[in-house]
Amino acid sequence: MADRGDTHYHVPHLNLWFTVSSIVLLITAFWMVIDDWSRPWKRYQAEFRRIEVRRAKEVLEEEPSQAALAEEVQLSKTLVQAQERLKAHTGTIDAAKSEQLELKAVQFKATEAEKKAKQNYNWERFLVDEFRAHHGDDDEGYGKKLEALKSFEDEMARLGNRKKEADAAVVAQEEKVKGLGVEVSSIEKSMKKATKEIDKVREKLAVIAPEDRPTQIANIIRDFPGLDFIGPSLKVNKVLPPNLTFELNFTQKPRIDMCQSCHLAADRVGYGNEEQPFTSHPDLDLYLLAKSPHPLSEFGCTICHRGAGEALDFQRADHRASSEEQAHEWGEKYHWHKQHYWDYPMLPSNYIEASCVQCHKDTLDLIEPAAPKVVDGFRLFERYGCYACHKVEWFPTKRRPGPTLAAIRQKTNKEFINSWIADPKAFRPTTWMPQIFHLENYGPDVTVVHSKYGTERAMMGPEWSDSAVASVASFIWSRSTTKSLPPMPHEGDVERGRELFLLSGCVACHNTVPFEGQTPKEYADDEEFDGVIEDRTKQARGPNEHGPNLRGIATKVTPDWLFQWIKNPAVYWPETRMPDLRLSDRDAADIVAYVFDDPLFADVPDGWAPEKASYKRDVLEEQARWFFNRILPAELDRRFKGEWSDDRALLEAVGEKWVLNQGCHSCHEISGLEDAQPIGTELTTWASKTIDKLDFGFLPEILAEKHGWDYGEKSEFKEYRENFLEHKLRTPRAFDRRKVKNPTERLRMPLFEFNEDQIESIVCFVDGLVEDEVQLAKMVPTPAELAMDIGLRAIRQKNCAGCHVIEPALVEFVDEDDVTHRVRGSFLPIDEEFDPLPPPAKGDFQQWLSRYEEAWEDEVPEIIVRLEGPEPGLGDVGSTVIIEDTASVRIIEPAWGGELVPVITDYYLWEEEVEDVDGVRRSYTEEAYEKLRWTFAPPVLLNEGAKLQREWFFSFLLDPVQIRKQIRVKMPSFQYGKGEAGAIVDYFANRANLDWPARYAKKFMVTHDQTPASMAEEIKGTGIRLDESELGGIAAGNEIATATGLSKLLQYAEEVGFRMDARTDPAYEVIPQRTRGVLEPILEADPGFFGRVHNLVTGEGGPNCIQCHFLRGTPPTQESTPVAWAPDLDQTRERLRPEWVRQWMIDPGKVYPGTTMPANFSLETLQWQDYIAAPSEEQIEAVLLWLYNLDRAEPRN
Amino acid sequence: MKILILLTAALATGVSGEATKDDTTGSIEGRIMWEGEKPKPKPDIVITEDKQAVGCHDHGDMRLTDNTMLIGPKGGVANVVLTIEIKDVEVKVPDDPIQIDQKGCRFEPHIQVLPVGATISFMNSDTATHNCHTFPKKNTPKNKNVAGGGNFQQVLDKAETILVKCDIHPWMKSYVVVTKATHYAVSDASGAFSVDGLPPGDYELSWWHEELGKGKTEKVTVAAGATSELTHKVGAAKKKKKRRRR
Repeated sequence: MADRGDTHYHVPHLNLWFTVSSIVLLITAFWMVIDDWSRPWKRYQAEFRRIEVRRAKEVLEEEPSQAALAEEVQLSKTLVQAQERLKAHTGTIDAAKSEQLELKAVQFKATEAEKKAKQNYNWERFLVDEFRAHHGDDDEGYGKKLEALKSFEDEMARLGNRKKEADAAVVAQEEKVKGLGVEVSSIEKSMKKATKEIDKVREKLAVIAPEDRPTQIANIIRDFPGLDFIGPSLKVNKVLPPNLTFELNFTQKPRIDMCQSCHLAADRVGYGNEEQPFTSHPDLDLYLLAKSPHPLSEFGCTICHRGAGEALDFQRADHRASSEEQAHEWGEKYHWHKQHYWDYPMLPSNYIEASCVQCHKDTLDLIEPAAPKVVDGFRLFERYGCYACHKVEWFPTKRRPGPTLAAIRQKTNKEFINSWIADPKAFRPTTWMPQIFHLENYGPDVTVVHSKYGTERAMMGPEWSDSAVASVASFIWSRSTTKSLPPMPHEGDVERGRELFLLSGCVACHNTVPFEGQTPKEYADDEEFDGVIEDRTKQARGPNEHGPNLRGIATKVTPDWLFQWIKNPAVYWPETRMPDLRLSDRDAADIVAYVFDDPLFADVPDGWAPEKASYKRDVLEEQARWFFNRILPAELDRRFKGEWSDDRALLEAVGEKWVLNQGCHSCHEISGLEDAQPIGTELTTWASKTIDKLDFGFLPEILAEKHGWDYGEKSEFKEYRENFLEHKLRTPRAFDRRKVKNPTERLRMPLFEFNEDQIESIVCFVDGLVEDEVQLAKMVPTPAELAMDIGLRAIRQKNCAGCHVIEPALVEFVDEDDVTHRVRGSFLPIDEEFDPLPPPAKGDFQQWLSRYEEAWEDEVPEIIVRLEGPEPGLGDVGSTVIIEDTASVRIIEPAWGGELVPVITDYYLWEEEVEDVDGVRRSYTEEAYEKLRWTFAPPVLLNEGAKLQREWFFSFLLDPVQIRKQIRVKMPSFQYGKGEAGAIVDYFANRANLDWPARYAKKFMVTHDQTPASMAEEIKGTGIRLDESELGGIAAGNEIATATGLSKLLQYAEEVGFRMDARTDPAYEVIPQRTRGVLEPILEADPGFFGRVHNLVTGEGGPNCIQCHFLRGTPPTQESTPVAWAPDLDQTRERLRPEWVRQWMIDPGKVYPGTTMPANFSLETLQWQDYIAAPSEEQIEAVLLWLYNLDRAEPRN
Repeated sequence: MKILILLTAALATGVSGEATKDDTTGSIEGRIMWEGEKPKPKPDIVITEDKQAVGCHDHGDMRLTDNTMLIGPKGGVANVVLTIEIKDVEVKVPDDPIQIDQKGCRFEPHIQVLPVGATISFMNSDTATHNCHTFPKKNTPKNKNVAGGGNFQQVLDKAETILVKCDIHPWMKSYVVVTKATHYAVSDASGAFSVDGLPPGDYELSWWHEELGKGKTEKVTVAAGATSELTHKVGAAKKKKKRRRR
């Protein structure tokens, strides 16, 4: 079209532009589609497909597949041959088939003919019968008709035979035809069998890598840009875990996790060696698999890992680098940096366990094997008393972690308090008390105080803190009771005290490890001191760090206080964890005498010298002005001259303010401040706080200057809450740096001097304190789990493991045949030439061994382990395993508990004479280690739940009685919190796999004096649906009944206020030996039964039990030999479970390897027939009956 | 009873693993003597007439010599175990069990030596019940009550010295020495012992005593068909190193 010239535009030009822009738009449109189509996850999926093909081909190349393929080739050859053979016989087969057809025709005809004959016969027969009915048997016609009928009958029989022949012929022909093809079909069958496995791989290959061209093309088209909305083969993989949400701008949004669009093999087994993102989850037994406790479909990924679940590329998912190198690598590869607009970045791998807290907060102690770091953090949080300042709503411990200060005057002196507050670690480097004063934000670099009064004074240096310390010490002193303690009733005996210190169990919780780099005072003049002892005492052990290190204690406390404290700690501090050891006055006085005699208790770190408070009046006044800033200056000046003119009064007034400011009262009881609020931030949902709510102060800038960070690195530092926590724990007051703040408003978190491992654990725990997103709680602990958790925590808090072995070590070693064994067992003292020191409770065994060998300048020839669990090929419980290759020994799990056992045993073995409970001193140096260990050391608690009757165990914990009278260390009287004692009992019951719910149900009914029927009747009225059979089922330990009914029973129990730990009828645990049904028939048949058992037990020629055992209070015949004493047989009835006693009597060495109790009843030979003429099994049953009826069999006079 | 039960440990004469004498081998006759001042003999163990010894002893108080450290009037030390281990010589393990009897509330003999792999039989000739409590480290520990007249047996296949006690009668104590040695003997009340069947050569005997510890004798040369003499002197044992533990 030509330009007409009447328009402002030039049409051809316009057309040209139009064409050009159309083309550009078209290209852009295509570009958009392609760009939209091109996503990283698609590339990953394509890559993964290649990996799958590679893996499938690898599988096909593996030996089993190769063998199968070879077999397939072989079989297909024979198949071809067979098919050829079959072909050669085509003629025969065809003939046979047509013959078969003919025969079938004959068969059909014969069948039809037979049917007809039958019908004819039946008709005729009817006619005959009718005739007979009308005319009777005698009629002549009847006979004739019968005759005629006979011919029909014959005809029918003939035809019947013919049919049978035809049938047989058809069957025979069928067989013949089948036989011709049987060879082929059997070969086909075996081919299928041989290639079953590889067929699967081939099928998979056919899908992901089709070989035929049309399918290949079709696949390309399916995934083609713009067409891939129809039915693409590359798809976004979504998981929508039900009921899991997260907060997004004040609304709860369901979680949708698309992580598996790239992490394609996360829930597949066997991809561990592939590169990310194609690797398997490292712990599939615990996570993702459908059969694991955390299946993918229910949990997804982000509830644990955090990060943005709906993001489909690396950057947006908010991945988190675990190290600087990784961050750098990611930066290069993915342009990775922090996703600024996402509040919950992924957890780095070292803090991933933080996520466990949100669901498992009720049973944290139980998940230790799967999440050791976060559980460690939880325990540190408890041990260091973090919860006292920082509220965590659900935290199970509430007590004030520090000792009471309400009677501090009785305990120590003012100088000690002053120096201790100034620097607690100067006196006890291992104390949990943090440093509070003399910290950086009151230090020289925050020098200037902008006083309200126009003065600018450099007052924040040491003198500021010194005055504060002095004021706190004065205040605490002023709030202490002035009542003095009664003096000790005895002069103590130092030597006896030394023995008691070891034998009463003090060292189970307390150690006296020397100060680092310092010669222990007690060895100052000791020529023999050769470093070995120092080396040994340096070993960090677990349980004896439960209480404080006692070194230097005599310089701190007064003898009168110490006497009262060890007599009954709760008098001074009602919440203390130190139990009542039930010491006599004499014993306590002796221990006090020893403590004030041995130089080790007077040993203090170099540089420690308790000093009088040093303060400056003008500094105190300045502090008072800040603290009392609501009081008019004139009024304050009046007070300075009036009521505060005395320094002491001013110190106390300022001191109270400092105490409240620094939160001393959060951890310690101080009279008058019992109800003051703790000072820390609540941490219940700390980890759900958005990052902008954390005040990093100028720390990022300071660190950036120090490390030369660029802007990006600096701002990234502020993006992660873990950075905040780490620095808070490491240098708690660093966030105040460069800030100008009022002295009373500065950061107050004290310095705990955690090591880096502790910091990591605590950060891990606090990072898990999120707002409860899992509202429809996934994890409802069962009553058993809950009891186990409470029990475990109580066991930890009471430090049961200080005295008792609860679990022997798990030891791994390689035997001579290169077989690796993992056994539960205890190490025996290595050799008589070596010091009989058992291996350490924790730490690397090989390291320990080399240290040991170095110290003794000799090689340990072998390691001897006594099995405490059966191991196939090595032996039963009690067998000895000798490991000659000491280098192959590894401790997988250290023994749990029993620190005191070697201490006591060694003492008996090495001390010339030891005082026994009867007051006589005896020598045990010639006894065997094992015997002393089982006689004088605290008992082991292996399988304790199966051994003890629950009620007895429970009342024993509350009110211990002495079982083994020869042992000098007593089971202490602990103070149990609500439900704790019962939980300890249940913990052991559950460890022994005893049916806790059944016990619960039984006990419930017994205490309410009810049967399942009456109980069901009563429950009926409450709206809880629980019937008689279900109740009976739970009580009987029926799994199904328990699963369906237990929660309902617990609900009802709660309604009626039933608690498992109430003291109730001890008879609820049924002892069959005490039941009438068992006992009466025996006594009826043999009235002298108990008498005969009595003779067996007590006769000199019998097992002679009473030689060692007490019997109803009567001492054993070996009264003068405490090493041979054994528990009173009278305690059996209420204390032990009969099944355990039975096993115990059969072979004590299999129950407690090494025990002093001999095997009395030999199952191979007949013994003690003069007393009871019966096989050993029957003798054992007789003794059991007698034991459980001692109150009836042996009435007290 | 197949083997003569030796009445007291003091009478125990040396027994040897290879008792055959011929012209190709020699023997050692030796004596273990006390050197220096003799320690005071340990007081007798007196068990008063109460229940503890019923079944071992008829009536009256029972008085037993403490046989842990016996020194004869001429200074001979009893109950010292002497062993020689010669390479490549096979030790014949006796088929019959080697016995320790419990008689009169004592273990007889006080020290019993047996080669690795031999069977020990703990007998009880008393009417009282004894329990045999062994404290091995390498062999399986046993602790069995044995009725009067009964016994129990155990194969000991690891070399070590095993303490044996009866918990019912706490003074009863004995040692079973399971040894890899090819030749061994126990010194008698006069400290005398003899080892036969030794191939000619120089020997250093290893000795062990429950209280004195262990050591080696002087070198002795043995010639074929001849008897060499050896006197070894022993003295008070070094005190056990005392440990400190806090």
